[in-house]
Amino acid sequence: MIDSIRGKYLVEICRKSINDNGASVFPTRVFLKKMKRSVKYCSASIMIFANIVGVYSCDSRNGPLDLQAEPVFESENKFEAGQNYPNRRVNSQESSLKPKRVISLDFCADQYVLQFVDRENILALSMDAEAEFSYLKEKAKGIKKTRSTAEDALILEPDLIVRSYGGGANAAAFFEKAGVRVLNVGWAGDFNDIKKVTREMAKGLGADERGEELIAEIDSRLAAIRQYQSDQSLAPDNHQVLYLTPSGTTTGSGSLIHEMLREAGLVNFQSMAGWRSLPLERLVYEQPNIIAAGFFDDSASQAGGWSSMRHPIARQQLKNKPVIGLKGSWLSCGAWFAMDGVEALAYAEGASAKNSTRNDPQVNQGDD
Amino acid sequence: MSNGVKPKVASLKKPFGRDARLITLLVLLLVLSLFLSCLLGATPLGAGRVLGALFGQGNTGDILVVWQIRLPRAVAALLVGLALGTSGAALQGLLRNPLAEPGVLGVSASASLAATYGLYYGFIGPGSFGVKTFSASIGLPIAAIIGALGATLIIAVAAIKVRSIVTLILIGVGLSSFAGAAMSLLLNLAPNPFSIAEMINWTLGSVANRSFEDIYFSAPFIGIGIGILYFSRSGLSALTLGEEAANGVGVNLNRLRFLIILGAGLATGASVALAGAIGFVGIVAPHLARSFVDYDPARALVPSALMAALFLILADIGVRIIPTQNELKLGVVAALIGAPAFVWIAMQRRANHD
Repeated sequence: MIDSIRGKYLVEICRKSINDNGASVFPTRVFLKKMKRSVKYCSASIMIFANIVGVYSCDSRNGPLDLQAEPVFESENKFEAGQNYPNRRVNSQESSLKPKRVISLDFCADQYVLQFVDRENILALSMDAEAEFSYLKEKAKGIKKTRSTAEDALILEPDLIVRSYGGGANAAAFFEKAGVRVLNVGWAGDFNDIKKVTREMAKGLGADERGEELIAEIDSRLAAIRQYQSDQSLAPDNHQVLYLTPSGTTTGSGSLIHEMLREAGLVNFQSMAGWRSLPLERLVYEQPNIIAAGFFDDSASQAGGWSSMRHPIARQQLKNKPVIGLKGSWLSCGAWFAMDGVEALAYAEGASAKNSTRNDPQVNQGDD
Repeated sequence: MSNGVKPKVASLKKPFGRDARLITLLVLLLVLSLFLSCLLGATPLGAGRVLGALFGQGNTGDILVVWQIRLPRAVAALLVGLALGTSGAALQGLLRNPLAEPGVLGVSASASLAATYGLYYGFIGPGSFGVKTFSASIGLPIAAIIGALGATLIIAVAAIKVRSIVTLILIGVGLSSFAGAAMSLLLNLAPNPFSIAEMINWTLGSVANRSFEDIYFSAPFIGIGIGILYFSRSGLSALTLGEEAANGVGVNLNRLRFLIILGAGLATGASVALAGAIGFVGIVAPHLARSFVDYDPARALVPSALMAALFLILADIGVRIIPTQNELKLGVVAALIGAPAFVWIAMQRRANHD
């Protein structure tokens, strides 16, 4: 389309630049006239766009967003200015404001927004907010969903955009340049990280108190698990758990899954670090006591033709092992709801140990 | 013949001699590489234990590791190599273009597309582990083969209707591009970020974790495809004289095109079902083989198949011994070696013909 318009434009210039004798002349006058018109249209377009995103109203004194002219944060919030957003210029008033027009751009961000932001202050969530791997999908019902493109986000005139990966690599810088504050969801590799990220997100979303409550809940649930473990006093060699996804992926140290197993008082059967394929050769000689099956509840995650889970060795060596189902929604983001998975692991493992029937299929616990 | 070498159609009747020596050497190297492939793995097993396990001796664990994990993987690489090497040599002979390969006709891409489509809509697979099942799924290979056969059908019809070889190649390129774009669309619209990794596998190529079940499913198609190509080979020798001359010696060109494309489609489609799309092997192996058989495409079929198989088995050994956190994909390693070779072949061709 653009090429076609450009082509017509060039043809027009060339047509006008041919004089009566058929000789071509340099089309300076026509070109300048067209350029002037283009600049005029471009300026008008920029002004319209700037009006839409609210940039046009900013002034140099208050930075890219005129918070004084139109307060967008509530004053009772203890939000600490600039802590999470080093690139953003903030004024003193902003530190005590609470976001009222929040957008999230991916399903990880959705979870924090749904947890910490009042429903009436959520402008839009990501398109995956109600997907089956979204933990708070029920809560997301009835809230507008938006795509994670800059235009779709800015047209809604948010005062805060929350994201982890949504919008792409340059999204944070772009939105900040447009005068919209961006809150990035931090990465969490263990429960200390999860608590840290929860605190940061709660603070950024103006819900410090709720954040601290959630952190306290995590601590108390972890403490309860530790108490339960000491009551059970299981032998370490009974704790070998193999985490497995439909594609036959397992994980060793350095992942949140590994930390979840550790917090549940279990030993990860996968001894090699990182994300790896099912260790088929090792399974021949030794097997885990239990399988932690992640994402098997997710209809889009299937054991494809290449999954090592389909291999005869896997089927033969693992078929009668007790299974603990871990929902995809507990694992899809490194966040507080990973605790549900830890509890499923800790308490289910204890139950099977008490029964002493590790190879009894009756112990199998499907996720649903 | 483009290289000015007189084709030796009569040599087909002389199975022994230089070709036989080359084939014997390649078979010996293949056996050696298969054994080497059985030696290497996560569990350190000595040559004695591996040999014992191969003959059913030793402990059960060793036998399981060798017969159910390492050997199927090596055999999968062997079969895929045979399929791609034969298809590449046959297509290069038919299209009289040393840069032709199975992927050129869009068969690999179409097979990958069908497999990815199956994954996307989730109609393939054993369902939920949460409901305690480990059932084997053959849906994905079936989808890949259907995709390959669909593409083969289009190309075969085109081969009969279209007289120009260049047009046929262009149809293949178009089909390949369309399948690539459709697959990108599926990735673009993937239902969740976790399923993308599984889809991407079909574009990377691997023989890791293959079992004899997978091989039993793909092997007949590969066998039939290679068989069709092998029994059509004499026409390829005649074709080196030019289409008119080949017609003159009684070669039915339409029938030859149809058979070669059908054979290559079946073999390639089944190899994609077994190991995903592995590129460049189908170009490099025939190129190497041709120089040993006086540039006769018919005589190049078997050496090319064996060289491609040897290349893939050795590349798969490389994949296992290169110390990376995540195991490399065979298709990636093959392309890393094959792509520079492809460029080199193209440059050589330019030097010869420009």
